[in-house]
Amino acid sequence: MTEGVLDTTEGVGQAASRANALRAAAVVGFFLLVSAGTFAVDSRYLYFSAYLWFGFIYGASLQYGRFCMASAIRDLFAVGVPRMAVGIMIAVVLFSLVSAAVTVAGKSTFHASPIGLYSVVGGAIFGFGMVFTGGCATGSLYKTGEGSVSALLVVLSLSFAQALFVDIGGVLDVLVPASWTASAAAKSMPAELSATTGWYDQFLAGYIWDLKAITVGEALGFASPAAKAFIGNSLINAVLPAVVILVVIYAIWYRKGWLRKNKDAAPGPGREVAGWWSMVTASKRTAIAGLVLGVAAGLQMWVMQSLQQKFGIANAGELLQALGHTSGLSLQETVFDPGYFYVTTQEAQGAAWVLAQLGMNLTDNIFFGMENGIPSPLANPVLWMSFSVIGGSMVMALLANEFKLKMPTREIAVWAIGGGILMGVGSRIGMGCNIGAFFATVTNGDPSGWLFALGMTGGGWIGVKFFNWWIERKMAKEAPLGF
Amino acid sequence: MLDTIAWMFPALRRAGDDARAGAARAVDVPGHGTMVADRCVDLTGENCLRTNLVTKRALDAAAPGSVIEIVSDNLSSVETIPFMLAGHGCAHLGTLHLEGTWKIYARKQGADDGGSRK
Repeated sequence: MTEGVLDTTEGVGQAASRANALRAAAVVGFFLLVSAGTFAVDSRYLYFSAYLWFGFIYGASLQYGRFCMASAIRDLFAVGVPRMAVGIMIAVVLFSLVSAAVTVAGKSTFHASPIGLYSVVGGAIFGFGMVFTGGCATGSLYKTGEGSVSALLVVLSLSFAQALFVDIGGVLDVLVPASWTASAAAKSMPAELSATTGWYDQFLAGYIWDLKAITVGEALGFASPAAKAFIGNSLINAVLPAVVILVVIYAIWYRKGWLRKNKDAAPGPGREVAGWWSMVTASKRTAIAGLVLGVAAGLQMWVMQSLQQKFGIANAGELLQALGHTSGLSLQETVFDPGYFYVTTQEAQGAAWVLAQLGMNLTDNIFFGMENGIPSPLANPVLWMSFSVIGGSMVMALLANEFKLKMPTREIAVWAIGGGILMGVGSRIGMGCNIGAFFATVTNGDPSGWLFALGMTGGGWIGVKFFNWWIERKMAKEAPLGF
Repeated sequence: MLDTIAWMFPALRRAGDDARAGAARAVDVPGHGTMVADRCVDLTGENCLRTNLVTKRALDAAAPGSVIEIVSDNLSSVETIPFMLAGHGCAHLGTLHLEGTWKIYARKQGADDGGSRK
């Protein structure tokens, strides 16, 4: 290696490990066996396998690119490195273009989220929490696949926090505005639900459901489906904002250093474009991962919609019934089935299923009882995707000799659990995490994703300031460091 | 009675031992041969934010011409740290991937770039 080399984690000295290659093959073999075995039982399990293999691709890409939205915010604010933020913007641009094509082809599974302040608040709580955990929702999944036990703690705490938060009542009911209660009561909800008690039920029925959801393409009134998808949803809501963000990042965090290294470059727009492009391509790993994620996320919508059409279903709940899995469905006989890359809700379902086995009744709330259901983890296709994100990451880490079982210190475990709880609460208030409420939304023309991103960035900034103060305080007590 | 704060955050009650700074020693840097690493900061087991912040502090505190060795098993940080170096007046000498950990070598620039010490 030479000075200034930017090929970083490739490193030198890693020996190829036959044992790790065999372990990786075993993980792939397990997923292949699951896919083939279930397909042999009934070909409609292909729907489950589609989620599984897209999750696998996501996990492998995330691990390869060390792709984490927590890092994007933290690295910018804490150490001034734009690597990850650049990777995310690349993925946003690619995902939005593929999504537009999928939408025009009539294969989109996307539904816009309501637009409201809740996205900023949820994003802020989520962003603040993820600074402490060391990973966003997807980051924690793929880091679990690398062997990080603290990431596993984040996943577990995030999952159980969501399951409990959507069912919580009692003292929190005091915080419910009367207008929410009145609006929820006016909606004639099924008798099985207690929609006028419980904070989250009234938040959904009395506030969220009254908000309007619309994509930019629809709002601008484009008559042509292609113009709506490519100009409104992709260009205006995703590509242009991503380019503007990259220009701002370049101007604030990258330009000065680039100009220092390229003193001889002639001043002018050409120099700025060269500097900007240098930033975009600086971390090839991250850029490649962003590219693969963006394309795969768009393709997943096309595949899931095609399978829904093939099997004549609109929701996996219908498929589960046909396959004999009748328990765990919602009152509408549906289950959570977004049809695209999504994290957090399926993990909440997994945690709720565990709590239900312990005797808790979580079906009297809107989130589980009416909307998402609580299917068993084995009959939850979207949860298969989360498991395979871990599996895909594990395979990639094993093949690169990067897998390592890491036990956390008590302090890191406390941060992981505490931050995971905040992420769980934030994701439920924000109606998703960095993937479902940001990545999948902004790329499909839904402006609510930018509101979530705004909150997540603000919360992350506050978290970084707090953590910086904490580290300074802690290091002051660490005499051996000497600096 | 259990001191819960000390149990959860031991460094608030006593000098911590989770970030270890070692003394100068000879190291073999890929592509550069044997040289003296003036400061070794072992951040094995730390999360990425702490790793990055402690590294930032170590880079700022390094003397011109000195070589710094950062040890980490946090992949995100190992990817990020080389991009931090230029902003703190350091050059990336190389990254060594050992079993389960990475060693990142950087030289603080200045003072006639005294990093030629071998």
